[in-house]
Amino acid sequence: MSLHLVFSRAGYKACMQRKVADDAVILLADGVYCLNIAEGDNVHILEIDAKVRGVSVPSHGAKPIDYADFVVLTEAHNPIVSWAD
Amino acid sequence: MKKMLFVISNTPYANTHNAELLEAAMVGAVFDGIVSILFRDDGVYSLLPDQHGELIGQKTISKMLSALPTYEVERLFACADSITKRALTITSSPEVVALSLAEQTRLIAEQDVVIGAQL
Repeated sequence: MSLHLVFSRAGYKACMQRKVADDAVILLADGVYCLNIAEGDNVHILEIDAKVRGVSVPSHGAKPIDYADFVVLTEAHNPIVSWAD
Repeated sequence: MKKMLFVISNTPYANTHNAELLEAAMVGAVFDGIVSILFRDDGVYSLLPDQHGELIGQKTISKMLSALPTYEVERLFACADSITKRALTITSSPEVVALSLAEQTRLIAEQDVVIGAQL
Protein backbone atom coordinates (compact mmCIF):
# COMPACT_ATOMS: atom_id res chain seq x y z
CA MET A 1 0.00 0.00 0.00
CA SER A 2 1.24 3.52 -0.81
CA LEU A 3 2.03 6.27 1.66
CA HIS A 4 1.33 9.79 0.39
CA LEU A 5 3.24 12.71 1.91
CA VAL A 6 1.20 15.90 1.40
CA PHE A 7 3.28 19.09 1.73
CA SER A 8 0.78 21.74 0.52
CA ARG A 9 -2.86 22.45 -0.34
CA ALA A 10 -2.18 22.11 -4.06
CA GLY A 11 -0.40 18.82 -3.28
CA TYR A 12 -3.43 17.60 -1.33
CA LYS A 13 -5.77 18.17 -4.26
CA ALA A 14 -3.36 16.52 -6.72
CA CYS A 15 -2.95 13.53 -4.38
CA MET A 16 -6.68 13.02 -3.75
CA GLN A 17 -7.35 12.81 -7.48
CA ARG A 18 -4.76 10.05 -7.94
CA LYS A 19 -4.48 7.82 -4.86
CA VAL A 20 -6.15 4.48 -4.10
CA ALA A 21 -9.04 4.98 -1.64
CA ASP A 22 -7.53 3.39 1.50
CA ASP A 23 -3.89 4.48 0.92
CA ALA A 24 -2.20 6.10 3.92
CA VAL A 25 -1.75 9.90 3.88
CA ILE A 26 0.44 12.14 6.06
CA LEU A 27 -0.27 15.88 6.15
CA LEU A 28 3.00 17.70 6.94
CA ALA A 29 4.60 21.15 6.48
CA ASP A 30 2.00 23.44 4.77
CA GLY A 31 -0.04 20.29 4.09
CA VAL A 32 -1.39 20.58 7.66
CA TYR A 33 -3.60 23.44 6.43
CA CYS A 34 -5.67 20.74 4.64
CA LEU A 35 -6.81 19.30 7.97
CA ASN A 36 -10.28 20.86 7.71
CA ILE A 37 -10.88 19.42 4.23
CA ALA A 38 -9.11 16.05 4.72
CA GLU A 39 -11.33 12.98 4.42
CA GLY A 40 -10.75 9.25 4.94
CA ASP A 41 -9.80 6.82 7.72
CA ASN A 42 -6.12 6.54 6.95
CA VAL A 43 -5.09 10.20 7.23
CA HIS A 44 -2.32 11.25 9.63
CA ILE A 45 -1.04 14.69 10.55
CA LEU A 46 2.47 15.53 11.78
CA GLU A 47 1.58 17.13 15.10
CA ILE A 48 4.66 19.36 15.43
CA ASP A 49 4.00 20.97 12.02
CA ALA A 50 0.37 21.64 13.00
CA LYS A 51 1.47 23.17 16.31
CA VAL A 52 4.03 25.44 14.59
CA ARG A 53 1.29 26.83 12.33
CA GLY A 54 -1.43 27.24 14.97
CA VAL A 55 -3.55 24.47 13.41
CA SER A 56 -5.46 22.69 16.18
CA VAL A 57 -5.98 18.95 15.72
CA PRO A 58 -9.41 17.73 16.92
CA SER A 59 -9.67 14.29 18.58
CA HIS A 60 -11.67 12.87 15.66
CA GLY A 61 -10.56 12.78 12.04
CA ALA A 62 -6.86 12.83 11.09
CA LYS A 63 -4.60 11.01 13.55
CA PRO A 64 -1.82 13.14 15.10
CA ILE A 65 1.63 11.51 14.80
CA ASP A 66 5.23 12.31 15.85
CA TYR A 67 8.48 11.60 13.98
CA ALA A 68 8.75 8.08 15.48
CA ASP A 69 5.28 7.21 14.10
CA PHE A 70 6.38 8.75 10.78
CA VAL A 71 9.29 6.29 10.60
CA VAL A 72 7.01 3.33 11.39
CA LEU A 73 4.58 4.37 8.63
CA THR A 74 7.47 4.85 6.20
CA GLU A 75 8.71 1.32 6.89
CA ALA A 76 5.25 -0.20 6.57
CA HIS A 77 4.40 1.26 3.15
CA ASN A 78 5.68 1.18 -0.39
CA PRO A 79 5.92 3.26 -2.52
CA ILE A 80 6.25 6.60 -0.69
CA VAL A 81 4.88 9.43 -2.80
CA SER A 82 5.55 13.14 -2.15
CA TRP A 83 3.03 15.78 -3.22
CA ALA A 84 4.47 19.28 -2.92
CA ASP A 85 2.60 21.29 -5.60
CA MET B 1 5.29 60.97 5.36
CA LYS B 2 5.14 58.09 2.92
CA LYS B 3 2.23 55.68 2.92
CA MET B 4 3.56 52.16 2.62
CA LEU B 5 1.65 48.93 2.15
CA PHE B 6 3.25 45.54 2.74
CA VAL B 7 1.42 42.65 1.05
CA ILE B 8 1.83 39.16 2.51
CA SER B 9 0.54 36.40 0.23
CA ASN B 10 2.41 33.19 1.15
CA THR B 11 2.14 30.64 3.97
CA PRO B 12 4.27 31.65 6.99
CA TYR B 13 6.66 28.75 7.69
CA ALA B 14 7.69 27.27 4.31
CA ASN B 15 10.34 30.02 4.17
CA THR B 16 11.23 33.22 6.06
CA HIS B 17 9.66 35.72 3.62
CA ASN B 18 6.75 36.64 5.87
CA ALA B 19 8.99 37.25 8.87
CA GLU B 20 11.26 39.42 6.71
CA LEU B 21 8.35 41.46 5.35
CA LEU B 22 7.03 42.04 8.87
CA GLU B 23 10.50 43.22 9.97
CA ALA B 24 10.63 45.57 6.99
CA ALA B 25 7.20 46.92 7.97
CA MET B 26 8.45 47.66 11.50
CA VAL B 27 11.50 49.47 10.08
CA GLY B 28 9.21 51.48 7.80
CA ALA B 29 7.20 52.59 10.81
CA VAL B 30 10.33 53.48 12.81
CA PHE B 31 11.29 55.84 9.95
CA ASP B 32 7.92 57.62 10.21
CA GLY B 33 6.18 55.79 7.37
CA ILE B 34 2.42 55.32 7.58
CA VAL B 35 2.50 51.55 7.38
CA SER B 36 -0.32 49.17 6.44
CA ILE B 37 -0.12 45.41 6.03
CA LEU B 38 -2.46 43.38 3.83
CA PHE B 39 -2.70 39.60 4.17
CA ARG B 40 -4.11 37.93 1.07
CA ASP B 41 -4.40 34.39 -0.37
CA ASP B 42 -2.19 31.91 1.58
CA GLY B 43 -0.82 34.88 3.56
CA VAL B 44 -3.96 34.77 5.74
CA TYR B 45 -2.59 31.60 7.38
CA SER B 46 -0.23 34.02 9.19
CA LEU B 47 -3.28 35.19 11.16
CA LEU B 48 -3.99 31.91 12.99
CA PRO B 49 -3.59 32.35 16.76
CA ASP B 50 -1.21 30.30 18.94
CA GLN B 51 1.62 29.44 16.53
CA HIS B 52 4.91 27.92 17.74
CA GLY B 53 7.72 28.69 15.28
CA GLU B 54 10.33 27.97 17.97
CA LEU B 55 9.60 24.23 17.52
CA ILE B 56 11.36 24.40 14.13
CA GLY B 57 13.82 27.19 14.99
CA GLN B 58 11.85 29.98 13.28
CA LYS B 59 10.34 33.22 14.50
CA THR B 60 6.70 32.86 15.57
CA ILE B 61 4.65 34.98 13.20
CA SER B 62 1.68 35.34 15.58
CA LYS B 63 4.04 36.81 18.20
CA MET B 64 5.55 39.23 15.67
CA LEU B 65 2.01 40.37 14.79
CA SER B 66 1.18 41.11 18.41
CA ALA B 67 4.35 43.25 18.60
CA LEU B 68 3.32 45.42 15.62
CA PRO B 69 1.20 47.96 17.57
CA THR B 70 4.30 48.69 19.71
CA TYR B 71 5.97 49.86 16.47
CA GLU B 72 2.88 51.93 15.62
CA VAL B 73 1.88 49.50 12.88
CA GLU B 74 -1.82 49.38 13.61
CA ARG B 75 -3.36 49.25 10.15
CA LEU B 76 -3.68 45.49 9.58
CA PHE B 77 -5.95 44.20 6.84
CA ALA B 78 -6.90 40.82 5.45
CA CYS B 79 -8.70 39.73 2.30
CA ALA B 80 -12.16 38.60 3.47
CA ASP B 81 -12.48 36.27 0.49
CA SER B 82 -9.18 34.50 1.25
CA ILE B 83 -10.23 33.88 4.87
CA THR B 84 -13.66 32.54 3.89
CA LYS B 85 -12.25 30.23 1.21
CA ARG B 86 -9.91 28.63 3.76
CA ALA B 87 -12.58 28.47 6.51
CA LEU B 88 -10.23 30.14 9.02
CA THR B 89 -10.85 31.71 12.40
CA ILE B 90 -8.25 34.45 12.58
CA THR B 91 -6.65 36.16 15.57
CA SER B 92 -8.50 39.01 17.31
CA SER B 93 -5.33 40.48 18.85
CA PRO B 94 -3.99 42.57 17.24
CA GLU B 95 -7.15 43.61 15.43
CA VAL B 96 -7.21 42.75 11.71
CA VAL B 97 -9.84 44.35 9.49
CA ALA B 98 -11.29 42.14 6.75
CA LEU B 99 -11.61 43.91 3.37
CA SER B 100 -13.55 43.17 0.20
CA LEU B 101 -11.67 43.20 -3.11
CA ALA B 102 -13.02 46.70 -3.88
CA GLU B 103 -11.76 47.94 -0.51
CA GLN B 104 -8.36 46.39 -1.24
CA THR B 105 -8.31 48.24 -4.57
CA ARG B 106 -8.84 51.53 -2.71
CA LEU B 107 -6.23 50.64 -0.07
CA ILE B 108 -3.61 49.94 -2.75
CA ALA B 109 -4.48 53.03 -4.81
CA GLU B 110 -3.95 55.40 -1.86
CA GLN B 111 -0.35 54.22 -1.16
CA ASP B 112 2.95 55.85 -2.12
CA VAL B 113 4.77 52.50 -2.02
CA VAL B 114 3.52 48.90 -2.20
CA ILE B 115 5.96 46.16 -1.19
CA GLY B 116 5.25 42.48 -1.60
CA ALA B 117 6.92 39.18 -2.34
CA GLN B 118 5.46 36.46 -4.49
CA LEU B 119 7.18 33.15 -5.18
